[in-house]
Amino acid sequence: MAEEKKVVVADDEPFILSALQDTLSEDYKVYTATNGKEAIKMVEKVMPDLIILDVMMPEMDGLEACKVLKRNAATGNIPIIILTAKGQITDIEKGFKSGADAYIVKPFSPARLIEKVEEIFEKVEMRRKIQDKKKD
Amino acid sequence: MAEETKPLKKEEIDYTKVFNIKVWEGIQYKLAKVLGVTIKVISEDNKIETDESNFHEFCSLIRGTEKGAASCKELRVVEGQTGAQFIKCKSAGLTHYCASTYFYGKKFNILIGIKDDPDYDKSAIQQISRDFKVDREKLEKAYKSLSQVSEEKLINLADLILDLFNIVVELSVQEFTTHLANKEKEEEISKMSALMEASIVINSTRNLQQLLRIIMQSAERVMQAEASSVFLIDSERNELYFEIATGPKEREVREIRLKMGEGIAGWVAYTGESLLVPDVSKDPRFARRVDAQTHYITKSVICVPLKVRNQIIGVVQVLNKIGGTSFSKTEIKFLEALASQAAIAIENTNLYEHLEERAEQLNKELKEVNINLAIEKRRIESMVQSMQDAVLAIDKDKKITMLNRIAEKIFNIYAGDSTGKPVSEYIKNKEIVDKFNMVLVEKSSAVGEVKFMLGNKEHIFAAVFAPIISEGKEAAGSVAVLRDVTDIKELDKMKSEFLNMVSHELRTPLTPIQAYSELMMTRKMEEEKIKDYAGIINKETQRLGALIGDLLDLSRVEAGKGLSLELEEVDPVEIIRAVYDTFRNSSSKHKFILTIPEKSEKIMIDRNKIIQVMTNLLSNAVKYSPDGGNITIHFEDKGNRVYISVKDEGIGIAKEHLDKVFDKFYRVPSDAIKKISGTGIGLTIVKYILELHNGGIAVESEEGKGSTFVFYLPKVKPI
Repeated sequence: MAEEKKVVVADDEPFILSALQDTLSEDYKVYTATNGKEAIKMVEKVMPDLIILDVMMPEMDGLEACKVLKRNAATGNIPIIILTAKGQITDIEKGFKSGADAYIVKPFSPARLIEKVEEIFEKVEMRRKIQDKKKD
Repeated sequence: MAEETKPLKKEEIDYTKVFNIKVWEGIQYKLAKVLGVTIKVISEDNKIETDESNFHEFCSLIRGTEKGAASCKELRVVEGQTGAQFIKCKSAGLTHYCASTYFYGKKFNILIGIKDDPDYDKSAIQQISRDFKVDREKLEKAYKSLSQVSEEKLINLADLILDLFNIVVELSVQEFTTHLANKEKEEEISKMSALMEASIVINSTRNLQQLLRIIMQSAERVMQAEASSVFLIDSERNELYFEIATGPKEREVREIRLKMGEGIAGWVAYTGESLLVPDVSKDPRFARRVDAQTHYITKSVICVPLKVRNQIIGVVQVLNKIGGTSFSKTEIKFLEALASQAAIAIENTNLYEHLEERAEQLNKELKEVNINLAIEKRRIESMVQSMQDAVLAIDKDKKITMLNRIAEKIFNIYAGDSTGKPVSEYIKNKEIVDKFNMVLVEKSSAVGEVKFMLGNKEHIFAAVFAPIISEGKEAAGSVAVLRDVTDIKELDKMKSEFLNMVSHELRTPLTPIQAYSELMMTRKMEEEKIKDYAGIINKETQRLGALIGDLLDLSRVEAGKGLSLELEEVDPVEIIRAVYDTFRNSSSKHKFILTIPEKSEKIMIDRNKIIQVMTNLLSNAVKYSPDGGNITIHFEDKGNRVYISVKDEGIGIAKEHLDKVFDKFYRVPSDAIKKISGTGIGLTIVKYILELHNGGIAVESEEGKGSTFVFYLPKVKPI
């Protein structure tokens, strides 16, 4: 089995954060943060394979953090899932504009979240294989 | 008028008036003196009798006595005897020759004396002297000087005198005829002037009664009538009534009505023909009942129809010629002319009255309309003035015609200064001026939003611009109504933010509930973990419940149903401690500090609701100090109240938002706040609960340094 994948999750609500952690920790190594700034620091530190950001957070919200991470060459390729209670289309638009790869609306089903995460990893894997083939 | 110049008929001449006796007497005197004869003229009916022209001494002696004078006058023609005759005078028995002539059928006897009388002797003189007591010698002497004319000469002289008499008579008749003709001319002139007068009167007065009266009076005067009247036809009842009656029975006559065809007036009204009745007693058409009712005796009548545009509307009637004679046919014409003047007068007056009535009615209607308009104007003006929207009107020249109180306020101009001035001079907002122009050109309404600064805040106005379309379909101006929708917009924004927030707030506890319950269902796990998860689910469910409770509270407050208090004796310090206990370990960043007494006196409050207030204030203190810090809870017992304050060291609230933090849905519009979830209803409910307790709440804050919320409760004791 390959090296365990790392996921950074950020949410200011402790129980949501713990639920994310509890959902994902069986399959992945989970790192937590409670706001955007913390999340960026954590990402830069652990260089995860996936980032899950809540939108509404103090200090720096998820969308802003997303933009920062995507602009940064070192972190720009890490897929980001935006997780928010806001279901409005405008927020989803904002989410994609900020460079997010996927969007999950709260409340979420742990199974659905895992599916989504796996889906993203598969895509990343395929993209990597294609790039490897080109290199050959 | 030729009719009137023809020779007079005998019977029409009153010879007593015609014969100029004075002229004849003058001639007679001179003839008698020159010719030495005596002359006297006597009409056969003795109505005309001249003095005897006598220059004889003899005769004058006899006449000098009383008896003689009387006797001399008794010189008379022998009646019944025709032709010339010799008559002896009764006094002296002297013989006179009597010749006769006819003057318009009347016989005039001319006595001429004295004939030669050879038989006259001295005994006769003696007798005379005795009878008249005149000196005999004087008589005899006078008799001798008495010139006696031969019979033949006397007859010749009589012819001459007769001729002269006839000439005088003819001259008299001629003079009389001329006089009569002149009189008729005068009458004609007076008739003409009466007609003129009538036509002048018609144009000078509009009072029909007065007018007809003047016309009829002039008719009476000119025609020398006793009375006159104007009848008009009452077409509804087919009757004639007296419109005007003059003369002695004026009042009585006015109550009488005649049927069509009844009486002379009725006949004339019916046939439309003028009628002259010289003697009504001989005319079967005459209605006697009118005379009977009025105690008047009608003798002669002229009645002519009164026609207006060929339609008979009545009759004009003139009664009884003064002096007992009858009216003449020429007077019919005059009366007809007068009647046509009267008809014009009636028509004019009717027309005038009709016009006047119509004008008056129009005037009245106009007045009413004006009054109504004035009322309507005042009503609209007061409506416009009392409107909470700004109203501004301009005319087609883009000059301000009206603005109400609110418009004065928002544009900061005064109606007194700006009315009549170009709108662009006073309204600096280009959008408004442009819209006005557009509406004037397009002649159709325009709606839109207009934004401009009021004080230092931008206000949003919902504006409606409408053209004022005059009758000619031209735009007479334009009116704008501006409603300040700033607050509504803000409320609207707050509401949608609130909905977002509620949705977020509801989903936030739901997320762990769903996640953990699913994990519990799908994963195998230890009992301890299950307990942990269930504990989280339970907590989050409570949080959800509290939130729903808040929303319900708000909706109750909103619906005006209010919240009910369940008052009980509670020590508020006890509540502070209980809430503090639930919070003190909830955050690692915050330090809760209590500055409260051990205990306080119990007051009547709703325990759960005050717990709700405290919980809300503490959770806000935590929430809005994301960087942590001290949260100080202070209690103070002061006078009739207890004061409880919660102080944090968080982000604080800018001054301009302080007074709004208790408004529902209101959330301070700053980036720092936006990142903190909240519904904007917590403080609204807090304030409401405290007001229910007759308490209150206030806030002090400085941006970046934290906030202090102080609330108080009255110390209500149980009864």
